[in-house]
Amino acid sequence: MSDTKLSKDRPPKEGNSRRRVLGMIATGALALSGSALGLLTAVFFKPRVTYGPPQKFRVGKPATFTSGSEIAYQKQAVLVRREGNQFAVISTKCTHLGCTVNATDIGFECPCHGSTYDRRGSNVSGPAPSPLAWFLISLAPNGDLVVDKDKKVPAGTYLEIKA
Amino acid sequence: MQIRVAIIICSLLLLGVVAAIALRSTKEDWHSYQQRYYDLAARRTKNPAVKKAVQSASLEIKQDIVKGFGKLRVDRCRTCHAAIDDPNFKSDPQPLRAHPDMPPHPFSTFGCTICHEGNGRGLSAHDAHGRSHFWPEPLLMEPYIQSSCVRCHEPPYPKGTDHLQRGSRLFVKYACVGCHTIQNFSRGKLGAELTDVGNRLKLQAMHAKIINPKAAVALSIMPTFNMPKQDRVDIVVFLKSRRGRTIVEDPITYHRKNKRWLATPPPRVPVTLAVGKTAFERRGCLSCHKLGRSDGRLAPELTWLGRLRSARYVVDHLRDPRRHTPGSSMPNFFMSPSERSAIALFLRNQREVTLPQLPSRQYSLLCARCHGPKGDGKGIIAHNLVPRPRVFTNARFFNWLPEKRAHDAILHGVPGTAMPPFEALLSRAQAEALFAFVRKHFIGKARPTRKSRRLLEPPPFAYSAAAASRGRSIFLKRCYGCHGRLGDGRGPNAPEMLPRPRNLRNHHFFSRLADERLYESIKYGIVGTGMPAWDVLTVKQRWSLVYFVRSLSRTGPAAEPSKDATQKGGQ
Ligand code: FES
Repeated sequence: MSDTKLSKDRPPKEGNSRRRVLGMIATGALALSGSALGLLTAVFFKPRVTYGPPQKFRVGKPATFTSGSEIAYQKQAVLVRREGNQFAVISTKCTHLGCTVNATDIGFECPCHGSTYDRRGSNVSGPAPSPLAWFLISLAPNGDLVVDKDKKVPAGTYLEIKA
Repeated sequence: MQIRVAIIICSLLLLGVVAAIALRSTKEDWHSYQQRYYDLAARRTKNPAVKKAVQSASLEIKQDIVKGFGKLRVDRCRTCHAAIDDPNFKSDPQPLRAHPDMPPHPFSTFGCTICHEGNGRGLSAHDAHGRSHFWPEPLLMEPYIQSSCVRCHEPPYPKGTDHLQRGSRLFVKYACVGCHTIQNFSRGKLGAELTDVGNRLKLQAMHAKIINPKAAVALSIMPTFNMPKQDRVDIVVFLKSRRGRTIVEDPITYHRKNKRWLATPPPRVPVTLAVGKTAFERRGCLSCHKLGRSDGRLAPELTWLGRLRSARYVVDHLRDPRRHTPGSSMPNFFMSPSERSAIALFLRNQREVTLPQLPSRQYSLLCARCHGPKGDGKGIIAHNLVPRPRVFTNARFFNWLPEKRAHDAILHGVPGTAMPPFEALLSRAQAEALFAFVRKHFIGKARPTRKSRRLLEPPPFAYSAAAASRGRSIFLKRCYGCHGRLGDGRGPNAPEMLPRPRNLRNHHFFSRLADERLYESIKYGIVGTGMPAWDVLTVKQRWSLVYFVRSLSRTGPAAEPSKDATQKGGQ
């Protein structure tokens, strides 16, 4: 009985330093796992997919577009342009209040308040505050063109496809 | 000290678990499938632009949101099955195989689960393929996938649905239509309605219910069909396709169509032998009955039945078998009177039977199908017959039964049951010889001399409705345990008794039974069966019971105790 009591009464200094190290390890581990759990929770709350209309969609094989054509996709509010072997996708959503712009010979024209844009989509006149957006166009593994409305590219970026 | 060590160990453990979870959440199965697809696609393509696009592609959840087919569908199948629209992957193993061409069904508008079922939102094979026990629509594989065409397509079914079409033919061939209702297809009333069974049951359950109908529902009267596996598979394909209204129909058109279908009367046919033969074959009679060599192994033999039973009997029986013979498990096939007559004509004109000389041969030809080759009442169709065939090894019963009544039962049949009158085939001497054979081989024991019973008390009062209702109150106290509250022989004790308690509503049986016989059975009981002697009742009470049975079986007021009736009865 007295033996065990003795063994517990170690010199205070040695005990203190050991306790401090052990305590630090424990606190560190707890803090680490706590922050990792917090991070995981944050990741969990961020949706990986949403139920809105898909931002990434296929528009068919390059061969279905003729050179010089501009084909508008009403629902997705984009326009696919082919010039020679070059492809580009331009938004048709007016930067003023969001009407769908129409393609004309010299560029785009908004039917709502008369904003006009040139062929690069830069705002030329009217109330539109900024140019039309250009989106990324790429190829899917099966050869379909894929438009990704989540990724904007600088105006004048074309995808070159060798026939 | 110890508590500190414990805390450290615990906190380190916690850290380890958290790290493991974090590691696992960054790696999922679909990552590796998609990565493999991109690697293979980049290697196989010749187009450098595609190669570049594939190399820069990132792993992501791909989903098709499909509206316009009933509920909204979210199909993430392409997350793993990334190659479904890539012609370079025609013969790769799953999950990276290209989908076969289905030209009018683009994936972006139809999605995947509309045909394949499964759980479109799942991102692991276990979830997405609906392998969880609680997911109602597990993935459909070939050939069951064919059932999905019926979600939109009406008959005639499109090309490539061979199993479905065969299943729909087999459903008629096995006479399933007799018992089961499928709207716009069949109108049986005996079995469960199957109009939307495809929505309710999984494939496994369907197979199990066909293999052994009694496994899930102990009181099911559905026979166990002797069908090859391929037939069962095709029938299940057809059943899975029964999902009620198709997506393209609106409820009102559907309802009108069904009403019109129900109102169409069965076709009238000329009453000729040839028509009777085709009707007999088309109605699937042979999927249960036996005729000549073809045998459904479920119901009585019809080879000589047309000669034993009158044409009137056959026609009446076919009009509504269950009403005509209570306890029969034969469904109503809703035939026109002319078709019934044609079938009766066909049955009457079967080939002559050459009766073997030896009683043992006669027994195996005429009796063994129901009473069993060993006389134990376990013939191949015995469990489909109500009341069950007599068990000849029940020596107590047969030693009590007067010999003459057994002979009469053979010659004149037992009305209201499956026992036909063999008069047309057997002479009285032959019947006696046949029963002598049965007694020698199955009953065995020598017949003890029977104590003569005391003369029966004459009825103290005649039949009246009041007497019958007095009988009813006694019945509800004394008899319902076996005979059932309705007197249909299905009381709570009935399943444990063999022979089963008599169905007291059987009109044909009781119309040939004299009051005295009934009274005798109540007073002395019936030896070798569960019926005890009711000597605790008074004479008046017993006669009230007799009258109650008369009213139940619609044979009152008291049938004439003629000699004829006593003879032709038979237990
Ligand atoms: S919305 Fe296009 S100019 Fe106003």
